[in-house]
Amino acid sequence: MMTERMFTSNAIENPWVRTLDSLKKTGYKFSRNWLSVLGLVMVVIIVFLAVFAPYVAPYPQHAGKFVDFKNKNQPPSWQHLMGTDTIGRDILSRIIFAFRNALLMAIVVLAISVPFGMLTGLTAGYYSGTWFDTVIMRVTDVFISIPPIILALSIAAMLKATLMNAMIAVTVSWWPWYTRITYSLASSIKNEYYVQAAELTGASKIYILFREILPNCSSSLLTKMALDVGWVTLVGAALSFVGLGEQPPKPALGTMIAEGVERMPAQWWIALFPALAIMFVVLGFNLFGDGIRDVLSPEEA
Amino acid sequence: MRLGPFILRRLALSIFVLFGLSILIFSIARVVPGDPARMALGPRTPVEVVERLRQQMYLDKPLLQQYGLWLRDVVTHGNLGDSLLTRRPVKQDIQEFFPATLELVGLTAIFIIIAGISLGVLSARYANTWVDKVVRLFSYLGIVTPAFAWAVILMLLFCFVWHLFPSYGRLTEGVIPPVTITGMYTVDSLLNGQLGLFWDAFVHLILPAIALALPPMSQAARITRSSMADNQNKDCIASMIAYGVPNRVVTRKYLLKPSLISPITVMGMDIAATFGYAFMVEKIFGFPGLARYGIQVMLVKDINAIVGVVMVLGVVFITLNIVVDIIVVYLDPRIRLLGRSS
Amino acid sequence: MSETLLDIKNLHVWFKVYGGVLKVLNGVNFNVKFGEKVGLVGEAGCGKTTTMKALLRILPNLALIPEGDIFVRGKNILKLSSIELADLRGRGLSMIFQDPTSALNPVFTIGQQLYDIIKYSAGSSGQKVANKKNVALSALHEARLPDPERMLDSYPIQLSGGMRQRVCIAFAIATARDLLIADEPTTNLDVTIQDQVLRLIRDLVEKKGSSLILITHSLGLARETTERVYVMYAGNMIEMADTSLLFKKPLHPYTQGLLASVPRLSGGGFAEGIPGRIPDYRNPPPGCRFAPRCQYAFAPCTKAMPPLIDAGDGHQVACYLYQNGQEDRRNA
Repeated sequence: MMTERMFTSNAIENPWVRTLDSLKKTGYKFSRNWLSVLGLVMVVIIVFLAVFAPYVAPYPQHAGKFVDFKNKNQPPSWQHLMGTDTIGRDILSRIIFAFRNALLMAIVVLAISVPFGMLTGLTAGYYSGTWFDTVIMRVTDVFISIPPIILALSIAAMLKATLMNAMIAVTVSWWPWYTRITYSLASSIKNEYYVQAAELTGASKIYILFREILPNCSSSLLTKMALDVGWVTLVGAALSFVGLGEQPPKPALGTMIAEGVERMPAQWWIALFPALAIMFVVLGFNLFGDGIRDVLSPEEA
Repeated sequence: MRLGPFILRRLALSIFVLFGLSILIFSIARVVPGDPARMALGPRTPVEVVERLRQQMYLDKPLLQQYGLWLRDVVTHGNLGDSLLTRRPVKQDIQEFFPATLELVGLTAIFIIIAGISLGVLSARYANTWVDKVVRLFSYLGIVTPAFAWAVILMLLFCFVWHLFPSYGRLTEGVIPPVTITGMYTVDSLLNGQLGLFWDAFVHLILPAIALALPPMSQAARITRSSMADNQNKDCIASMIAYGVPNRVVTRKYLLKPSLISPITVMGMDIAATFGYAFMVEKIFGFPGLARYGIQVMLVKDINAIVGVVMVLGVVFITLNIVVDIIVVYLDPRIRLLGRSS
Repeated sequence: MSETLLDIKNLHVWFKVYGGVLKVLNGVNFNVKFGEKVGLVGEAGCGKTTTMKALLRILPNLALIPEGDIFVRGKNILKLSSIELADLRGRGLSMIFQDPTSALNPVFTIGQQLYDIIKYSAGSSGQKVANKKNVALSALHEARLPDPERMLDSYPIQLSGGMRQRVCIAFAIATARDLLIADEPTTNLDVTIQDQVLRLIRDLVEKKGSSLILITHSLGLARETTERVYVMYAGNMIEMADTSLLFKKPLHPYTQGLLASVPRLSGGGFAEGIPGRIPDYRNPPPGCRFAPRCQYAFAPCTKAMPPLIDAGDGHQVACYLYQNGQEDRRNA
C-alpha cells in the first residue's frame, strides 16, 4: 500500500496577500518587545503634539509674544500643569510648541544630510580604492574628526542666530556620519556574489548602486535615522541653550532650560520640565529605533 | 605592518587632518559676513584706526596669503591673535581655561571607562538574569538623558535637597588655587602636597563629571555587553571551554579582549563629544572652562578666539583618536596585519 | 568489551525563539566506547552540532533540556555542579571545528592559545606543565606545520585555511584526550588538503588510542574513517550499524535515499535525491519526523516517533517497517 504525500508549498501566490502577510509579520515582530511598542507610542504622542500644537496646547498664545507678569513664576498647579516661567507663560504649552520646532529641525536636517551622505558613501564605497574614494573619505574624515555637536556649534556661531541657520549648521555636521556608515556597508557589500553577478550581466552602475547595494544598507540606515531624530533634537537643544537657533519669544527646549537654570533652585520647574521633555523625545525615538532595528535585522536561527 | 610604521602613518594622516581643519575653520571665519576689524573696535572708531587694524590682521591681503600668514604666526609664535572679548591674547585665555575643562573631561573619562566596562561585563556575565535587566534598564535611562538634564537633576538633588556638594565654580569662594604647574587644580594640588585643596577641587568636579559621564558610560556598558554576548557564542570560545580551560580564564582573557574593541572605539568618540556637552554643564555649574569660554566667544563672533579654541580642540581630538587607534590595534592585531579592520 | 566513554540517552533539546520553541533534538541516543571511532552522518540542520554542544554544555542561554541524560565516564554531566564540571572538562575532550577561522581566537597568537590549553590540560587548577613550549612545538610539528617556532607567534589571520585546521589538530595532539570530536573537519578545505587533514586525524586517534566522533555529511568520509556509524535526521538517530554493514545493507528509507543520492562515476544515470525538506522544528510532525518525505510511510508513522530497535548484528534502526523482527514490509 503506497501512501502519497504532497509537499505543500509555503509560497503564497497572491502578491497582495503576501504584502499584508509581511506587514503582519513586521507588526508582530515589532510588538514582541513591549519597549518598542512604548517607543512607538511615545513617538506618536510627540508627532501628534507637534502637528496639532495650536489645538492641543492649553494656552497656545503663550508660545508667541505674550507676557503676564501677574502669573509669573507659578509652580505647577491645575491651571498650569508645568508651572509658568519668568514672564508668566505656561510652560506646558511652550513645550508643545517647542516639539514642533524640534521635529521640524530633525526632519529638515535628516532630509538633506541623509541622501547626501548616503550618495557620497555609496559611490565612494563602490569605487573604493580609487581617487574618488580617497577624496571623499578624506573630506569626511576632516568633518568626523570633530564631534558633531561641536562642529554644529561652531558653524551656527559663525552665522546669524536663526532657526534656519541652526538647521544648516546641524545638517553640515551630520552628513559625514551617513557617508561613513554607507561607505563601510557599500564597500563590503560590493564584494558579494550577487553584486558581481549583476556586474557580469552588464547592469548599469546606477542599477547596481540603487537596486543591489542600497537595499542591503537600508536596515542600518533606517535604524540610524529613527535614532537620529532624537539626537538631532538634542543637538538642536544644545544650540538653543546657548542662544543659537530659534530666538525668543519663540519657544525652544534648550532656551527654556537655559532660562530655567538661572532660576534654580527656587523655581526648579522652569528648567526641569523642558529637560524632561527632551528626555522624552530622545527616549521615545531610541526605543522606536531599537524596535526598527529588531524588525529589520534577520531573525537569529 | 608592524606597530611602529602604523603609528607613524596615523600621525601623518592626523597632521593632514589638522591642516584640513585649519583650512576649514579659517575659511569659515573669513567667509562670515562682517568686518572683523570693525567688530573688534566698535562702530564709533574712526576709519583710519579700523584700517590700521585691518592691515595688522592682514585683512587686506588675498585669502590664501592671509591663511599662510596666519599659519606662520600660529606655528612660530603660538600667536593666535587677541580676543575681542577678554582683550588679551587668545593664547593666555586658552592657558587659563583649557586645563579646567581638561580636568573635567579627564575625570569624566575615568568614570566612563571604569564604570562603563565594569557594568557591561557584569551584565554579560549574568546575562538574562535580574542583574542584567536592572543594569540594562539603568543604562538605557542613562543614554537617553542628556548630560545637561543630568546636570539639572543632580544639582537639584545633591546641592539643594541634600547639601552634599557645591554647585558653583572650581573651588570654594576665597580659596587660593595651587601653584600652577599643569593648570589643573587637582593635579597641581597633589603635586604640591596640598591634600585639603585637592579635596576641594575634587568635590567641585564630581557632579559635573558624573552628569557628563552618565550617557557615554551607559552606552559603553551596553556595547560591551552586546559585544561580549556576540562573542560568547563563537567557536573559538567553545573550543577553549571544550579543552578544559576554566570559565574564568576564558571570560577574562579570551572573551574580554576581542569584545573591548567596539566599546573602546565608541568611548573614544564619546569622550571627544564630551567636550561639546561640557559647555552646557560648565554653564550650569558655573565652571570656568574652555567650553564655556568657547561658547562666549562664539556668540560675540570673536574670530581669533574661535579659531584658537577650535584648533586646540582639534589637536585634542586628534590625539584622542590616535590613542584610541593604538589601543584598538593592540586589541585586534588583524588591523595592522591586514591594513584595515576586520 | 570495552567500557562506554559517552552515553547520551533520550536527549531532548529545545530552543526558545520568537514565537515558539524549536524542538531540535527529539530523543537522541548515542554512545561511544573507549577507543572507538564513531561517525555521525546527517544533512545540514539535523542537529549534529547541537548534540555536540549539549555534550560540552555550551548551549546558548535560550536552550533548554527538558528530558534526557548525558553520561560521560559514567557520570551524568547534566546534573553536575559547575566545579565538578570544570574538573571533568579539564580531563575532557578535544574538539575540531568545521570552520578553523572561527575556531581560533583572532586576537591571540597560536602560541598563547596553545599554551593555555596545555596549561589547563592537567585539570582546572592548571598545574605546572614543564616545557610547555616543547610540547607545543612538537604538537605543531606532528601536525605537519612548517616553521613551528614562527607559528607560535603568528596570528590566525596570517595562516591559510588548511594551516589553521592543522593548528586546530595540533591543539588536539598537544593534549592527549580520551575523546576527539571532529565536526566536519574537512568541509571548508580544498580537496587536496582534505586528505592530509583526515590522515592527520586518523593517525592522532590511533596513536593516542582516543575515541573519535566524526561528524560529517559526507558518506564517503564516514566510510573511510569510522568503525560504526550513526545516521541522524531532524533531531533523531534513525539508524546505527558497523560501518561496513550500514553501507552494505542500509535499512532506513532515509539512509537508503542518502546512499542512492551519491552520484556514481560508473553505471550511468543521474543520482536520485530525496524529495522534500527537513521539517520545521517549531511544528515538527507528530510521529516519525521523516514520514512526510518517506515513500513507505503508513499509519503508525504519524502517531509517534519509532524507537531504535535491534535489527540483528548490532544494527539498529528507528522505523516501523522493521518492528517486531518482522521483515521489510515494503512489498505489502
